[in-house]
Amino acid sequence: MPLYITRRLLVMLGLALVVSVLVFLMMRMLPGDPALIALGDSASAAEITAFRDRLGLNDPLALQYWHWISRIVTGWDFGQSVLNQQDVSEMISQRLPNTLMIGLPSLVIGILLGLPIGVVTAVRRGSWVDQAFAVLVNGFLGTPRFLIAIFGVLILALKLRLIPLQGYTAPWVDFGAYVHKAIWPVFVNSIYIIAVVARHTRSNLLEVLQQDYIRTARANGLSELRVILRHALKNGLIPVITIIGLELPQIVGGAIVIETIFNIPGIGQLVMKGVTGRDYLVVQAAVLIISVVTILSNFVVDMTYALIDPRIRSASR
Amino acid sequence: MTRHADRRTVLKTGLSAAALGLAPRLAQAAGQSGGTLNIGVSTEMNYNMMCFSMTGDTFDFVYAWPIYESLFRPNDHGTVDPWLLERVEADSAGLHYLFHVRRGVTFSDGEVLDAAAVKWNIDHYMKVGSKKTALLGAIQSVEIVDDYTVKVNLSTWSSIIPAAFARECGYVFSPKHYETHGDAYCQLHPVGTGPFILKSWTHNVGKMFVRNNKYWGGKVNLDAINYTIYNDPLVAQAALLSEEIDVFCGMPYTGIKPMADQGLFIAREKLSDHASLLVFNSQNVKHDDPTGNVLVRQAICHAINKPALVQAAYRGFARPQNQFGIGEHFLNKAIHGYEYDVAKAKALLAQAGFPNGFKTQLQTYDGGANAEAVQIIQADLAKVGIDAKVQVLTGAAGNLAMIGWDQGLWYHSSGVYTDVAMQMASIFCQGLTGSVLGLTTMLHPDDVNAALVKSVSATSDQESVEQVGIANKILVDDLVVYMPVAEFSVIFIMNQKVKNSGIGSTFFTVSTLQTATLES
Repeated sequence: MPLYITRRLLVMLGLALVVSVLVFLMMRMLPGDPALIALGDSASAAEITAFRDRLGLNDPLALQYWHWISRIVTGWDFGQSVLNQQDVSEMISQRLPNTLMIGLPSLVIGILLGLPIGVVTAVRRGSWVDQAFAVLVNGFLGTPRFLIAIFGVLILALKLRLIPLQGYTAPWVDFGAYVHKAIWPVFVNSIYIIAVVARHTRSNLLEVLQQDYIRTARANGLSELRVILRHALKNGLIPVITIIGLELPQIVGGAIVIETIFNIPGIGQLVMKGVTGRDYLVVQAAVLIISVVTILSNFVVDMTYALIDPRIRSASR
Repeated sequence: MTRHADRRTVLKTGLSAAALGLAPRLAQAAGQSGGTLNIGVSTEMNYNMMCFSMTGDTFDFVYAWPIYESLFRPNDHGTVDPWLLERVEADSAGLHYLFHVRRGVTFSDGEVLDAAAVKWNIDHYMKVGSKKTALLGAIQSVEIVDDYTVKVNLSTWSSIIPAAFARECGYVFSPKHYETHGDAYCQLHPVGTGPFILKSWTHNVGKMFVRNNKYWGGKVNLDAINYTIYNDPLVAQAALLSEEIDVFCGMPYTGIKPMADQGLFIAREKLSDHASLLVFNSQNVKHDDPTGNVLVRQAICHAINKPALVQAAYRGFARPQNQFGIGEHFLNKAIHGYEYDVAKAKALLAQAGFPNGFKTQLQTYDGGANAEAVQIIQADLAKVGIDAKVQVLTGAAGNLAMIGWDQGLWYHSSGVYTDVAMQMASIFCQGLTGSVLGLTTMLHPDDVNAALVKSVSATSDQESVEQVGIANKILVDDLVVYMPVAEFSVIFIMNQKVKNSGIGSTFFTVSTLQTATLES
């Protein structure tokens, strides 16, 4: 097991490096010069060149990459924003908590609601309960989030004045204001997770409930609740853990649509503006962090499999 | 819009309404004191900075209203008045301006605005300002004559210096604050002479300004100004209707009339501040572009139904133009342009060797009505057989394409900061470098260059107007370098309770927030 983990860590490091090179090159392949956006029209060629020189944008690509990656490794320094000269690590550290404060509750709500819905619809397969939730789940999956977000804003905020139109307050600043402002964006962000978790839980559970050992458990007189919770759910959860693992990077990456509509100063918004403004270092840093989280979450998911399923644990030895 | 006073005469006499003390000490308006004016905007500042390197984008000015004042400011007549200056003397023969600094002006940090502060600001802008070459290139040196008099020496005469100092080039910052804290700090903690002070700034979210209790211009009615960014126009509309915000800047044209129907006030300036134009690849460096042929360009002008285009794209908030510029002061009535005539367009195309039309591309930067305008133009061109592929570009790609779009057509919207000569000289002259419209795609003829150089160095308003007219005639009628489309102004949607704010009243770059009140 320790050897397995070490091998996995080395692979993860290699993957992170490959991603860093790819995102570095992709940003520079995009047409457009960040100096033009930064300096605006009427800036002379000399001023643009001087700006690029100051930021090292005229250096060879390999040198630019080396400077960038070595600063991160040696000093956790992601450089300065091309557009506004702010420290990139400071920008990300300011915004990442905001993204997490929307994303994590969404994930939790998604699991807390998705799992029971999945279980109920599997157990009550074919009933009106199953049909009703099927409509709801399919509705959630098929409707664009921005539509639901705007609809909610117009009805709940404008007409009923139950929630604010937009905005965000960090929970450590004012928890009440955070809840008031975040409740709708968090819910909108969670509906896809609810739908996906519910659907996968249902289909996995249906398969598991057909297994011989479940029939045996029932024949031995165990209650249906015990059969489901103690025997069926554990096996039915393995694919769901995969889904949760896939959602973790989405949480860190930020829901761009949600952050844009509700004007939440998060990572998604930062990356979006960085791409259109060719703010190279901002986008590179954000993508690198998101990819590291993705790699790590895959690792955690794999380890969780081993914990849940003894067969996987044995195979890894 | 007809000017009421010859602008150079105004400057030479050195007197203005501002100098008489009327402007800064306006009578206190009716309405309650106190309260927070909530302003919604659709985007963050272009460069995310509030110090010297501001780029002069529309929103740079909107955000600057509370804290910055400039040496000059635009008036209703399309000229500029001294503002932080008491009066100005222009000596074209002696190649200098004398700026007499207004007494009693202080920065929000308590420092006095005097000749030394003005000189420091001009000197610093000449080192780092983004428009120093394009607009202030003629400035050779700045001298202090006495405590409140500054002499600006020029290498060649430039009549656009006052207009240039009526925009961000003329904003003044506290030298002491800058020298104490440095550039990086000042970018996020600016200190100007305005009626409010920046209290907090969350990038891409909003800014809060609080009353400057030591404002030199008198009592400030409001407690605070709060800016919030609304990325989505529907949410912005909801915010206006729910009175979460009192003013919004940046609404798409489609969203303006519904707001007016709901009783909100649509503030439109007396003077337009933007012009839109369809620019051709007249340079045709590769000699493979049909739009390099003047007959083809004329045909395209005839093929486009301009009045219908302007009405449809701008929803009634713009008016067709037949030459670059705004208002009527620089208007050359001899310019005839090209009337909508599909038959004539087809005949010209046939004469040019394209009886069946051709394929081309039509690009623009995503903003305002640009995307809609190019789609309408595409449809008009299709009627004469021209298959124009539309590309709406954003961000850095758009900025790069604006400089040289390689082939075909570019639809452009340009700010025009009162002085048409100044704006045209920064676009159509020769020898420009950097981020300039059509630098590598548009012709810059010698005679146009000569006319624009003369307009900028003119010693009389009449001469400047005449030379701009000559340049426009060549560009529009003779060489068809571009087709003027429309003139329009930045639109602000306001709650009726906002009074005496000056927002959307004179020019989008200025307001009178010190006298603003909120009626209950």
